[in-house]
Amino acid sequence: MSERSVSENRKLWEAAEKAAEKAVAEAKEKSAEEKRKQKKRVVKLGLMSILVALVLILASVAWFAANDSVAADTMAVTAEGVPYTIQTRNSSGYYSSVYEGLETDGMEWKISSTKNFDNHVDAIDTSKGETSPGIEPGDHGILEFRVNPNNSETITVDCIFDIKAYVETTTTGENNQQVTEVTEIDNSGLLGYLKAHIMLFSGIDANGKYTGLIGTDAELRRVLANQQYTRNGESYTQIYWVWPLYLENLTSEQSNKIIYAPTERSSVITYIANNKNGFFKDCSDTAAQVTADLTALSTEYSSAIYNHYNTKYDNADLEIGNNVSYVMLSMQVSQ
Amino acid sequence: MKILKKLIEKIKKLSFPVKIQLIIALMCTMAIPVYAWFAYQDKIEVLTKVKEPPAINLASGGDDPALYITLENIDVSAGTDKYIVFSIEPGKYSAYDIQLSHTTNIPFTYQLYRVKEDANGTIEYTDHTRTEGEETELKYSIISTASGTTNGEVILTDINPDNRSTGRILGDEEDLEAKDRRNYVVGEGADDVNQYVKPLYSVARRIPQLNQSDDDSAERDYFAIKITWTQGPNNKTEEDADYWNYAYNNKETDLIYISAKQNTAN
Repeated sequence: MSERSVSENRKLWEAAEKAAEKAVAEAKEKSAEEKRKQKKRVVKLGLMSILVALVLILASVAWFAANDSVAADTMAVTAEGVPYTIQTRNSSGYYSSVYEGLETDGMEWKISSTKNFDNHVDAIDTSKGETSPGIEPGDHGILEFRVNPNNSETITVDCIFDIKAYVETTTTGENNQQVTEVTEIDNSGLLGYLKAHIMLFSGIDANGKYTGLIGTDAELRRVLANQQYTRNGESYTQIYWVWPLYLENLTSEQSNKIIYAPTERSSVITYIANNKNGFFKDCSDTAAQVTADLTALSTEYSSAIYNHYNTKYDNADLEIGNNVSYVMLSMQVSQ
Repeated sequence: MKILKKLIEKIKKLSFPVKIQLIIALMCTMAIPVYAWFAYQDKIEVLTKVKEPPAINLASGGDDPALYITLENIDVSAGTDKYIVFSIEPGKYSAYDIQLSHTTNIPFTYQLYRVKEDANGTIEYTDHTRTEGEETELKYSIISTASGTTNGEVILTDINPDNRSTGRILGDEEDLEAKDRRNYVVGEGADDVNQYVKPLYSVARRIPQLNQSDDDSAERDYFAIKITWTQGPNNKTEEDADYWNYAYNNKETDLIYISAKQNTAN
């Protein structure tokens, strides 16, 4: 065993230290490069995910558009992860071809001979010389739907009703061809008349009088709140729509002229007063005044009071008849 | 991070066709949530047509349109009354108002009667439509039993009895002048004919539809306006105080407006 001098030992030590430092530096550099590579991969993966998502959305849209022509007895859209499905049944409406031409975000409400919106072929009154069905003051009917919970046994939802109006215009295009166009009406006054005059009830009593007025909330939406449904239940919710022909159908003190049950009187008066600009054309009376007048009419007829509102009610009907070609009732479900 | 690293390593090792298969598989698994996002807009819609508003129409007698309602060729010296036949097509309305308004130049009084076609009737009407290109002489009689009438007369209520104090005397120029209601300004201001004219209004409310039907068919309720006057005696002159109360064939113009409106209030 040879002995090393102190200086030799030091040299060896320093060399060892240098080697160690170099190795550490190399390792650090390698690690940084690896991290950069990983970052690149993550960015690439992210970009790829976005691309895939875009492709999926486009593919889904195409799928929906392609599904338009599929006929089904019960219309429903189901999917995993969606809490509920709205179900309506039987056939498409008389004006489904017009409906398909409209840009809407809903699906068609299927109807039947007895449950429709005067949009069934059976709603054509040939004795009046009619050739197509339609709605007018004095008409009434039933619509039905149900909501099916997908992920639970029961579900409680709110059903929000809305009305849209459309006007059909015919112009002469190229080669003298008639071009028909259906455009949405955004005149809030006119829409107000329709929303008020087409009333909705949730029930009917043994005397054929409507019960459960679907009134408006603070945002003037008509909401049928807290409707409960069980999975694959058989019962459909029925909505009674009515367009009263005469104001006296809402105001008369005589029960045979009134279309709703006596218990609904106060809610109907409140509803009319809150929507006075929809029920009456050019109504300058305050809501409080309307309430007072209609309350007075409900106990005793007064021609002065009645005629004051009657003309305004009829004029609103006339505005609808003269300016609206199609009316669409929609129902949106929210949980 | 280790798992991700391993995964990436594995994906790198896959061949190109397998990579494509993997992407398709990923698309299939992700399709459901995307689909659900669309279906969440749960809304159903029903569309129908709005019918033309119901109408109430005025028409003349027989099958004639309103065009043939006429108030002409009245010879006041040849009789004391004349009937004008017209009709209402109430459509689906079960009741309606009829309003008459007329100028006051000639001292005519106007009454409204319900009438029906009757071969034995005494009210005559010449129809222009029933047989194409030919005139048909029709006869009408008053329906004395019609509900809401007094022996067939539909009672008209004055809306604006003209007054400063006692009301207007029809046709009386002096009376009208006193009330700034002259029909004619004669002489120098001849251009001011009818300058102050103001018609009288009267109305009969809630006349029930006779043959009520819920359809819009053109079934008509017939009415006749009976115009009456008092023939002017020959010995009267403009100097006489009551001269203007009598009808002479010395005035030409009066207008009568007939309007109808549904009114089915109780």
